[in-house]
Amino acid sequence: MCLAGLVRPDAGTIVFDGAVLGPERGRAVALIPETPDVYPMLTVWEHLAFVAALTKQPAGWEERAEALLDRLAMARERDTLGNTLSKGMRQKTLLAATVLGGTPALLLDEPMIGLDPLGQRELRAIVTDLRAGGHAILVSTHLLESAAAMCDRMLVLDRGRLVASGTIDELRARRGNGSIEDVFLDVTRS
Amino acid sequence: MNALAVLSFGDRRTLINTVRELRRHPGRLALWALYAIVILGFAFIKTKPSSQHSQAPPFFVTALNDLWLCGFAIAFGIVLATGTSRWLGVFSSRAEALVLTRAQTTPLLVAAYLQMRAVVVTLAQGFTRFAYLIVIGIPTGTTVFALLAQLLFFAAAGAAVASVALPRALARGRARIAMIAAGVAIAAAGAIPLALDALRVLQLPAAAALLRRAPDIHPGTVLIALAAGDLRCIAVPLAVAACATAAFALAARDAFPELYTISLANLEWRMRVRNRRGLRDDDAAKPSLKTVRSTAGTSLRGALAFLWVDALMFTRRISPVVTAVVAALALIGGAAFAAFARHSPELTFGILFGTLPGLAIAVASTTGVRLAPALRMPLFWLGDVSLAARLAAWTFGAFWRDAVLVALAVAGYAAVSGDIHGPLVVFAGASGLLALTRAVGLAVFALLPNQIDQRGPAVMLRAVLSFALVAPAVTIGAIAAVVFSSPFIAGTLTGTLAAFTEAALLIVFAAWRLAGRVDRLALA
Repeated sequence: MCLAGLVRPDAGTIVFDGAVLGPERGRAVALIPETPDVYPMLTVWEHLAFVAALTKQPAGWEERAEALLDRLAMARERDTLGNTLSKGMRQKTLLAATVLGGTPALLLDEPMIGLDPLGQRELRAIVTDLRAGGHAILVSTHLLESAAAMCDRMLVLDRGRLVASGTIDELRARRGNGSIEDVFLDVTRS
Repeated sequence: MNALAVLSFGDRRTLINTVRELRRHPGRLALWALYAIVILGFAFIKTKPSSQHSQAPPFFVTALNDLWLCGFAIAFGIVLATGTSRWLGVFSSRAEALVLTRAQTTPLLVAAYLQMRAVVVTLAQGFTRFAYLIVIGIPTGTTVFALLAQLLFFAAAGAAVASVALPRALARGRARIAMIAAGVAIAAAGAIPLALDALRVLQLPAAAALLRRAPDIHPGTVLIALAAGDLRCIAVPLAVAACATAAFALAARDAFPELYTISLANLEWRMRVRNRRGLRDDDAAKPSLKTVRSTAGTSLRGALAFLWVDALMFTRRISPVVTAVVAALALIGGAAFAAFARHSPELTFGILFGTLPGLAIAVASTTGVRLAPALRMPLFWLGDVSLAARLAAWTFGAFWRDAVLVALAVAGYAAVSGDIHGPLVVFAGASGLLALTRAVGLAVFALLPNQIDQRGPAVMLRAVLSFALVAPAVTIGAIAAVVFSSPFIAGTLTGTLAAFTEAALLIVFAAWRLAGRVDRLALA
């Protein structure tokens, strides 16, 4: 929440793309929380229309929105109201909206919790796709193997302090190519 | 006694932990203390040791007493007819259901405890929420004994209303039908004296013949009898509560599965309401509505997009028929008020510039501020719009609907009276007042986001702030009226502008207070 600009930091600065972010850091980092709330009486398309208006997108946003819905396999849910969407669909709606809004960095909090195996696989594919498209994605999770399957770099926090960081291979090498779970337990026990 | 101690263990610990949590926040504790002092202070000011005279009370006192009595009768009838199982929980959690249904005591005692707890919780919540109403609603000059007797009666009546909810929720077959019929009859019977009182207050010529033939029924005389020392009427609601409790305990001792089902439905409903409060989501009422034709988009940009979302959700949430009926009622109400004004211009002036603004502030102060779920929406924070602008749009989203209703009432008044200037002045003043009370609600929410605080000291703070901030707007308006020799147009417009300025400053304050504190709202 601190990264997303919703909570004031006690100390330190947040730097993104070489620039220190002040109170406006919420504009650069969009948070998609564990409970991805959407507007219950708006359709998926209207969420996108709302974000396009809120972020003052130039003309032609409709084509980009349609393309996003296709890319996230949501074209069939275009006219579905928010209150009937599953958790996975709500996550996708928020992802589409934040990408359409031009937010360069996405912060996903426990995105896999509550998703069925198919939903988890779809989300991993979407995250990989967005990463390839140039978005910075920060995933906060306790599901280590899932994180290892998605992420380039991993930061391990223990009681609010950074205790390990590096690429997945670098972290594994610390324990003789053991599992990420072993690495995690090692660094948090010490 | 030992069994009762076991059954109440969880509730007692919850209460102790709540008090401990409150002690960690001296600011909140101070506001609660201030709230209690204000209520007691009002009670002290409005009462006197003994009554010196015994003449008949004026009509407005009788009508007010009728409102109390008939209000309780209508509430009792509604609860008896509908059950309102969502209003009263049985088990407060799944864990409690598992513990209490397996308690080493008789099911009869468990059921009786659940019923009594439901009644006590309802009374405690009711007193916290409506303490100010009890004190404000009691006429000045009443004796201390009368106040205490009437409060005792209100508690007994509240217990009677609360005690029928659970028995009604369990009732099946003929008993259920009988309860529905009795509830409807009682609610209707309670509404008749109120309707007659309303007609007497309005003094409409068309209703004169009806009022001559109608009986002079005033159930509120019960409160006068209580004030005079006759406490017998308290026995009636107490007997109802006792009978309902006994009936529930007998029926519920073999109905734990049904009670558990009711509880689960209730808990899930409360969770949905808590999560989505503020968005006025009503998915439970519209389960069949899954897809609709999407609106293409909006030309409103930036923070104004929130207005589009608000309007869109409003049209989906409220059926056009309901909207049309409410609009028609506002129009007719304005027209009826104009007809009334022809007969009593002085009283009309008093109502317009005294009663209605006071009533508007009282209602606005007690209306919940449902901002927290909106702030928890990830999309609320997207884009480079300032938080103050977002909050202003959110506030205006609720404001415009009330303003439209006022505009319709004003149009109805203007159509009947043939006057346009007076209604326009009233509309401008009412708009300023509405904007101010909304902004006060937002600012107080930013100070006291906790839901329990919102029902207690926040109500008082909102009322005091609203009255305090109306004063400068009225003063500025009065000065402008004198300076420009235009008592209505210049005075009202300047006063309204001052009220809007105050509202804008309050929104800026709320934005400053809320920025970077969303985690506290999540915990509130």
